[in-house]
This record gives sequence, C-alpha cells and structure tokens, in this order.
Amino acid sequence: MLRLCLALFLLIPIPALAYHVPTQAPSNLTLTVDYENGTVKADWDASDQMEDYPAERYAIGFGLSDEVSLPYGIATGNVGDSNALNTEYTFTASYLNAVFNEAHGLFHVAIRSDNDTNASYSEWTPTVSITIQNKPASVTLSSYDMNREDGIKFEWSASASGFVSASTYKMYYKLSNASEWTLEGQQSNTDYVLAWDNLTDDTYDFMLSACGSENDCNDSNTLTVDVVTYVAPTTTTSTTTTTTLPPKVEEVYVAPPPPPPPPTPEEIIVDVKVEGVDKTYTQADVNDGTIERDQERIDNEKEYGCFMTNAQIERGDCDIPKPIEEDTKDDIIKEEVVVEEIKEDVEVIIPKDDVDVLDPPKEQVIKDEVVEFEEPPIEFEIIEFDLEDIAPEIVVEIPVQDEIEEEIKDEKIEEDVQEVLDEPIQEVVSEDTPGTTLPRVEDKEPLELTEEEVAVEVAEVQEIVEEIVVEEATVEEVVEVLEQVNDIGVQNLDQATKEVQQVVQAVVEEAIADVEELTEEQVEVVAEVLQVEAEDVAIIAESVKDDEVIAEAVEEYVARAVENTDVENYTLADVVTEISYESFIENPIETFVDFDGLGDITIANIGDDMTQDQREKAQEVVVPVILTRIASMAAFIFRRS
Amino acid sequence: MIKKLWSWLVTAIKETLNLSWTLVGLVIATLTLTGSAQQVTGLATVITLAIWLLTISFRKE
Repeated sequence: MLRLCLALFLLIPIPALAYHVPTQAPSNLTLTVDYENGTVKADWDASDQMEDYPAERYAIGFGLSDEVSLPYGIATGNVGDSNALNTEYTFTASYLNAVFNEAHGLFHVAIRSDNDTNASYSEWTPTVSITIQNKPASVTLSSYDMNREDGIKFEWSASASGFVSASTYKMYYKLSNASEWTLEGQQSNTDYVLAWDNLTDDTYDFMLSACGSENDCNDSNTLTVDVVTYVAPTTTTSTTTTTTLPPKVEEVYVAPPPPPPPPTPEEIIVDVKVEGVDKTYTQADVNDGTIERDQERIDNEKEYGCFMTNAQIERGDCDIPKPIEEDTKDDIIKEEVVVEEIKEDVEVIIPKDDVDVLDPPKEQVIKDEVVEFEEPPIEFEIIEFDLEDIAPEIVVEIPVQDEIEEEIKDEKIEEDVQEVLDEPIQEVVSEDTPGTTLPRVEDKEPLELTEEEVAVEVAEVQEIVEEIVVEEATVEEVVEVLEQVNDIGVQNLDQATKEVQQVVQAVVEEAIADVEELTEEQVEVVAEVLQVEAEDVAIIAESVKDDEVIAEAVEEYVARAVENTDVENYTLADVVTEISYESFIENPIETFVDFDGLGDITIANIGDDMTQDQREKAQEVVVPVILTRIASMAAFIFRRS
Repeated sequence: MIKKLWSWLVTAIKETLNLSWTLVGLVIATLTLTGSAQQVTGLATVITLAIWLLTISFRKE
C-alpha cells in the first residue's frame, strides 16, 4: 500500500505547484559601443531551450532617450530564417540616424524570445542602457613632411566612419620622454603644419584628436618622429635663416619662381538698376549674354511668374496655365461664376504666345538706369505695363465660353449628376438603414472579398502599419488602422506578415487601453475588430485590468484569430474560452479556487462583467449540458420507479 | 482509522465518477464564463462537490 501511495505521489503531477514558463526570456544582455565603426552591438545568451515553446527568433526593443523607454522594435529575423536565432544584433550609426535623427545619447535595449508558431512570448529582459558619446572615429596619424620652411606638416584622412563626423582636429605633441602633451592647433582641415618654433632637434611624439561637435574626442595613434628642424639653404631670398648652417644640409634651396599673377579681373562694371534692385555685371557678363538672359528672366517672371529664360519657357519648364478655352471645359458650374473666375484669373490665363497683346519684345526693354560704361554701351529698358489694362480685351475676346458653358450645362452636368446619383448615395442609404446607435457586428453583412481584393486591402493595412509607431500613435491613427483591418476582417490578416499582425495586435491593445478617449464611432470600430458589441468594449477594457485571462485574450486576439481563419464567427469570447482551457490544463486547482474579489460580488451583479458575446457562447455550451443531465436524471428516476 | 479513511476514499472516487458528466458540464461552464460568473460557478462547484462527498454516509442511511 505504501509503495502504491508512493508511486501515485510520484506519478501524479501537481500542476498547482509546478513552475511553468512556456517561453523563457534570454539572459546576460550586454551592449558594446564601437566608435571606430559607428556600431552598438547587443549580445545575449539564449535560454536552455528546455521550455515548452523555445524561442524561434528574438524581438529587440530599443530607444535613444534620457529616460528608459523602448519605443522601437526589430527582430533578428523571421521564423526559420538562418539568422533568426542569432544571439547578437548590431545597430549601425546610419540606422540610428534614420530612426532617431541622431546617433548619440543614452541608448536602451531589451530582448524578448518569440515563439510565433504557438504565439508564445517571453518576458522582456531587464533593459540595458549605454551612453553613445558624440564622438567621431579616431584618425590614423602616419604621414608627415619635415622638408618645409614653415614647419612639420601632418596629413590624415578625415574621420567619417564613426557615429558622427569629426568637426575639429586637435594636434598634440610632446617630447618623447615627457609626460604632458601640449595642444597646438585646433581646426577642421585634414592637414596641419606645426611651426618649427615649437620644436627642436629631438624625438617627439605627436597625436591627433578627432572631436565631435560637443567636444567629445577620440585620440589617434601616437606617432614618434625624430625631428630635424628645417634649416633654410643659403639663398638670397631668405631673411630669417640662422647664421650657422648644419653640415648635413648640402643642397641649395632655390625658391621657385613666383607664379605668374592671375589675370586681373575685367574692371568694366555695368550697374543696372532693375525694378529698384541694383545688379552689377562685368564685361564678361555682357559678352556671354548673361545680361540678356537675366533680362529675359525678369520679363518672364512678370509675364508668367517664372524666373526663367525664353529658352526655358519654350522648353516648357514653366507651368503656364492652359488657355482659357481649355480650362473652361472643366469649369462646369454656372455662367456668372465662370465669368468672375475669368476676370480674377486674367493675369494667369493669358496665352504666352499672344504676341499682339502681351509679349513684350526684348528690344523694347526700357533703360532704367545705365551704366558707367565705355565700350559698346548696353541700354536696358523696362517696359512697365499693367495687365489689368489689357485684361478686359481678353475677356471680350472669349465669348465662346458662353456657348461652351451652355453645352456643359445641358450635357456634362447632367451626366455627372447621374453618375453621382448612381453610386455613392445608394451606399449611404444602405449604411444608414440599421438605425440603431450601436449595431451588432453580426448584423452586418459578411465580408465577401475576392482573394485579389483581400490582397489589396492587406497591402493597404501593411502600408499604414509601416508608418505607425504604436507607442506614439494618436487615437485617430489607431482607429485608422483598425478601420483598415475591419475592411478585410481580422482573420484575413493571415496574408499579412507576422510583423504587421503584431502591430495590429498592439494597436488593438492600445485601443482597449485608451477606450475612455474614444468616441462612440471609434468604439464601434474597436468592437468590430473584436467581434463584440460596442457596449462590450468598455466591459472588456475594465476586465483587462483585473482578469488575467481576458487580458491575455486581448493580447493574443489577433494571433489566434489569424490561426483560426477557417473558423466562422470567431470572436474574443472564443479566445477567452481557449485561454481559460489552457489555464485549466496548466493549473486546474487555481482555476476553480481563484476567489480574488469575491467579496465584491452580489447576487444582483453576477454576470454584469461578462460581455454579451461571452454570455451567448456560455449559453450555447452550458444549457445543452444541463438539459442533458436533467434528462439523464429523469430517465434514471423513471427506470428505478 | 486508515482502513476507514481508505474505504471513504474509494467511495468518494466512485461517487465522483458517477458525477462525471455533471462535473464535465460544470467545468465547461466555468471555463466558458468569465469574471464574477466564473468565480461563483467554480466556487459553487467545489463546495457542492465537497458537501456531496462528505455526506455520502448521511445520504445512504
């Protein structure tokens, strides 16, 4: 008997006491900043893979801010990818710049194990933070030139491979046997001449610091040089040479002949005053036609509103409004309105080739102010004309519009109105017909989309989802995503990527969390996603706070709905039941002996915290069971009697 | 004492097995319900089963 009891004790599991973690979180997350390559490497250890649902990939949350936050996420790969189970990830400076518009500051990272197959996700690891300084990569100091009169010249390649580019370089030097560095030179060029005054014939160490805009610097290697100060050769050109010449300098320095002086700029200056603005031209500008082109630009800006030459105008670079005959074909409103618009837009609608009226010939440009000018003087003229004076003629010249308008009135408007009446009004009527304030989701017509339509809708969802940052999304953005999801139905998201599903899931959670901020219409949108009634959304939002099962159901709703694409009328209530069942299997005793908040329950409010959908699902199951039990009991009693 | 306890244990298991279908129904009901309804149903099921098993001898008299 004792052995039997012992065997039973050993064989029977005690789920209530078991510690069960479906998917374990990674551990030992470390961050390493590499300023030379401009990268931050996150490295972590995988779990022992002994859990029920080991990681299939890792989600990496990260942020760059003074306070710990992880507004962005990225994954090591998709399930099954060769790199999905990598236990390190490298953030590059360009990536950080693309996400945060900067690549320095306090950087935060946390990792989570994901098992997408079973929709099982571990806890996030503790967030690890590291400071990325505004520090460029170091430079290599190797090239120098002592054969110079002014000093020893160093040259290096610009530092550009780090998180930031170097904005200044600081040159340090010291005697090799000294300990303290001397700063000499701070500039942005990639070369520097250290004057001989600072040096003697000795062994020196040189070092260069590449510094960012906030003066965070990265030191180069130390370059040791046996300095031999330059001694000028015996030439007549030097006035600063020392009196004793070292014997080793044998060659004679001959200063190169001075380069020929640059050609003196043409002194002929043309001052032109155009519309009150002084412009200065040289003779070269006169010769190469710059002045003429500028004048064309001025004329065309007046005429067409485009500061372009005639050649550019002819090429079509300027967006000149179409002639009025074409424009009015589209303006199909009323006669008076059209005429008024024409009058208002007269300046714009004048055809550019209307030479008789508008095109001011270049020759007629009036001189405003000329020129102190000796060689062939160029006279500039400015023709000042008022377009409004010309406009009435144009209006008179287009009476044809009236006829066109009449035709439009007779034909096109009617056609358009007919089209309008044919399409959207009918839709509006059908949408308005239910008449209830909060229509049940089931009352709506089922979605009947073709595969192509679903694919298009999924693409739209993906497009919106890619633009949204869930943690920072406004209520309107959240609702917009949910409306898109409703267009195809949650279960059709199986055609979208896992990332999109996860974002939609996060959006659903966000909507539930912010339900108090939603309008009635927005609540309906959320209700439609969850396949519940609108008034149940508030109940769910309240239950999420203290009911772990419902909270988990909301968290996993999208994933499970996608998994159950083939199940008709799959709602949040089904997810709740599934999770309750899984919880019962894991820990049956706790499911029945969870009496938290029992004191708050009264006979009157039992069941008030259940959604209507949940009640119906329960009735569908419980009532047949009870009836069957009653029937069997009745049969038993009848048989005994 | 042990023999008596063992005898009661066997009887309780038999009674529980007799209630199998009822218990299945109640378990399903509990899992299908949420919130206060689930708590009340679960608590009622446990208490009723305990009373049922503790009163075996009383009911058989």
